[in-house]
Order: sequence, then C-alpha cells, then structure tokens
Amino acid sequence: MRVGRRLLLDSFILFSVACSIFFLFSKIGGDPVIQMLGTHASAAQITMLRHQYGFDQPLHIQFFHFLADLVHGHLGSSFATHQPIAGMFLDALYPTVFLGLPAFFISFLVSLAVAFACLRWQQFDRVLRFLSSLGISVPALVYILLGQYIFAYRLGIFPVSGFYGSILHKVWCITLPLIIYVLVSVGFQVQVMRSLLLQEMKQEYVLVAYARGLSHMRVFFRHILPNALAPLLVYALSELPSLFLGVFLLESFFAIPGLGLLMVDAINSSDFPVIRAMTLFVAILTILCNEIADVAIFVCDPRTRSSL
Amino acid sequence: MKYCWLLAYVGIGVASWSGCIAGNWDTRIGPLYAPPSLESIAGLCGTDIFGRSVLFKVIKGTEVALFVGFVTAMVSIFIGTLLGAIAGFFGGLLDASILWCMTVLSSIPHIMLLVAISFLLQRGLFAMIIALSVTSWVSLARMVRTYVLQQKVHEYVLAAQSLGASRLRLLCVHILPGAFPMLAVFFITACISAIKQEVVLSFLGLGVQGYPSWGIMIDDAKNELLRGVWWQFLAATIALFGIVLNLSSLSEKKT
Repeated sequence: MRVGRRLLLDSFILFSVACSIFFLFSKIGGDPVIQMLGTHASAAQITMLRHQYGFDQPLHIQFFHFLADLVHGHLGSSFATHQPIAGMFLDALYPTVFLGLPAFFISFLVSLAVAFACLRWQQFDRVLRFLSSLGISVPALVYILLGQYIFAYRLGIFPVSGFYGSILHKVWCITLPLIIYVLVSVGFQVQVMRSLLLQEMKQEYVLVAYARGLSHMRVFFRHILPNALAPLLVYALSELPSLFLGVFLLESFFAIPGLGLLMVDAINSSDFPVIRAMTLFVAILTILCNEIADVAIFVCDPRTRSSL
Repeated sequence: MKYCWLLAYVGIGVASWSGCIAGNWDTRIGPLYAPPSLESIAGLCGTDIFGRSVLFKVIKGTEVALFVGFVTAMVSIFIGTLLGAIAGFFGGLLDASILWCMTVLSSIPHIMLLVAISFLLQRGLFAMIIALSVTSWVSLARMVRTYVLQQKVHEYVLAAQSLGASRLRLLCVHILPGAFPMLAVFFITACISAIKQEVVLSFLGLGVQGYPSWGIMIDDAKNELLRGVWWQFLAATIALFGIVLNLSSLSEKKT
C-alpha cells in the first residue's frame, strides 16, 4: 500500500521532470534542422528533414513521441556526431565511474576521519575548521589549474592529461584528479559531518557510555557511529548523483572522456539532444537516490520502522 | 574588523560602478602580458593579453561579483521566503503544489538548469542572475516552510489570532520576523555560492559578456599559466578568496 503510493508519486514526479525538461529544451537552441544542415540549405531539404525527425508536428505530439522513445530506451542522436546518445553515454560512463566512485568513497572516509579527529582532539578543532574554511573559499577551478600546472606540468610527477592504456596506466592518470577532488570536497564535507556527529555527541547516551568508563574509540565506533549512520548515509546518497556531472571540471581539464566532458563538449557545440538526455539521466538518478536513501534509513535505523 | 573588509569591497564595487576608479579598464596601458611592476598604479598587477591593466580588471570584477552575489541572494530570498511561507502557513493543495514544484526543480541537476536558462535568456549578466536565483531558492523555501510549520502551532500565534489578527498579519508580523537570523545566514551563503558559481559559468562560456569578471580571469589562466603568466590568475583568485572568506566568517558569527 505504502510502497505503491510512493511509486505512484515518484512516477508522477518523474513525468513532471521529463515534461519540464522537454518544454524547456524545446524553447531553446533555435531550429535544430537549420543547425544540422547549415544556413544555406534549400527549403525542400529543410522540409524533408523536418518531416523525418517529426519537427513538423505540434509540440504535444512531439512530446508523446519523446516519451514513447524514452520508455523504449531511445534517447535520440547527437546533432554534432550523429551517433545514438545511449551509446555515447555508455562509453562515457566507464571513465566517470572509474574516477568518481573511488573519489567519492575516499573523500567520504577522509572527511569522516577528520571530523572525528576534530571532535576527539579539541585542540585541533579550531585549526582544522580554519583550514577547511580556507579550503572552501577558493573555487575548485583554481585547485585544478594549480594542481595540473605544478604537479603535472612543472614537476612532471603525474601525466598532464589523458585516459588511455592499460588499467594501471589509467589508475595513474586519475591519481592527480582524484587527489584534487578529495582536497576540494573534504573541506566542505568535514563541516557537514562534524555538525552531524556533534548532534549525536550531545545526546545523553554518550555521557552514560563515558560514565561507564568506555574509551573514546569504543564510544565512537560502537555508540555514536551507528546512531549517526542514517543521516550520514542520507547525506552521501544525496551527493551521489552530483558525482556524474560534478566532476566535469576535472574531466575536461585532465581530458578524461567521461560524462562531464561529454556535457562540456555538448554545451560548447550547442548539442541540445545530448544536454537534454543528460539532464534527464541525472534527474532520474537523483529521484532514484532519494528513494534509496529512504529505504536505507529504514534499514539502518529501526526507530523509523514503527512510523512507517 | 570583519565589517571593514566587507565595506572595503563594497566601497571598491560602488566606486568602480560610478566610474570614479578603473573607468578606463579597457584601454591599453602597455605591452601585452607585462609582468607586475611598481612604476605605475595601473601596472601594479601587470597586464593581460590585450595589454589592459589587470588591477583595473580586478576592480571591475569586484563590481560584477558583488552585484551578482547581492542580487541573486535577494531574489532567491524573496522567492524562497514567499513560497516557503505560503506553503507552510496555508497548507493543503497550495502546500502540495509548491512542494511538488520544489521536488521537480531539485531533481533536475543544477548545473544543467543553469546551462538551460543561460541559453534560453541569451548569455549574459541578467541570464546568469536569473539562473542562479532559480536554482538556489529551493533550499531556503524548505527551511522557511519547516519553520512556519513549527511556529504555527505555538501559543503566541493563537494569542494573536484570538485578538483578531488577520492571516496575513499573523504570517508577516508575528511568524516571519523570527526567521530573520535564518534569512541573514542564507543571504551570506547564497552570496558565496553565487560568486563561486560565476567562475564555473564563466568556464562554460555562459558568464558575463564583454565585461571583466573574476571567473573569466581565472578561466583565462588555463592558457596563460603554461606561458608563465600568473599575475592575472593570482590577482583574481586573491580577490575572490578575500571576499568569500570574509563572508563565511560573518555567517559563522551569526549562527
């Protein structure tokens, strides 16, 4: 009953998202046919192509075609390369996941550790908070430019750009972007996690645990962490969708052919079908992650089960 | 001390807007890519690819950054408070439809929404401000809605209601003033994120056109650093770093 209602609500939101994306993108980008053929195409050519792609039909009919295609998994084809978009996505997904997932987990664990250190050793708290606010005061672009210039170009420790060769070489290629990603995101995540953990630490069960003479480590790992797990998981899952496009700066500077680079190229060449499909893809992912987050709370926090 | 810094930035922004300083930022003052020198004020931070003064460009960029940050924060506070308060206070179908609107907006990735709106409204300062405001009001609306929902059941509201206060008066005079600290903190964070997003939008070529901004100056560095031209990059970064650090220290004090 409950599940059915949620699914219905989600599909309604999904439909509205698809709707708004379709109409937003039908307004922009000018005439796609003229873009494909150039401004010097003959009228007959334009009419033919327009008919072929179904652009001569009213907007709502086009929308139904768009939805039907979507259900069948056809995302259309790119204006720039004339390849099917689904194939381009699948090719680009691998480098993005290759860079994104390790980056995500490492930065999550590092910031959890740093947040713990902040709360455990109070004398570092001020220093670490100062460092993290210094870190987030500079845009990520600056870190990328500096990191690439100093470590790859000047010192030559890492490859300047590219993503090719054997698995080991690929790992080598993503090392520097990975480090930059972790540095940039830790500054922000530490502050979020610190406040999440601090909320738990103020609870009385922590005081009781200390009163029983338990060590800091035991209190943290056996008492605080399990209780803080639900909000931490929700936070992590809400960040997960942004991983796919969030690394686009890194991907375009280090020439890693992932989804982010695909997006930047599509924006630069005004390739609207690709931008539209990508928007939809990430939107679906966001909705999915929200659902998973709700289920995750349900699984790891038994207290919420009674309310459901 | 913190306010002095902010005032200095605002002063520079206003002065450059009124044309007192850096009015001639687009005239050529020397050879292209001249390194910083102490000989003249204009050449203090060197020159860019067209031989223009980097110092003047940084000053002009201050104006753009403050304008973008301030206006974006104001617009998103206006939309966010209005819709959040309406949703929380009136409830029912109005609440459901506003919530639905917010869920849809927050499901679409922000960067894509920024891109789409920038394309829709022709690239430029105006489109950038609209795009940044549209993406940033949702989180505030959520906070205001929760706040109003919490406060609605308090006794002071009931007291005011029994004295015959209208619903509009209840909301605007009794409930919303309590949300002011929250709004002030949001104003600062929205400013910060708008100033930082401007850099990303400039990288995508969707930023301000025909006007210097810190984002464009930082973005230019991708070609300049390899030639050993670091002054434009450094000047813009330091200017941006200063204002963001200053604003974030202000928001910490208020919480």
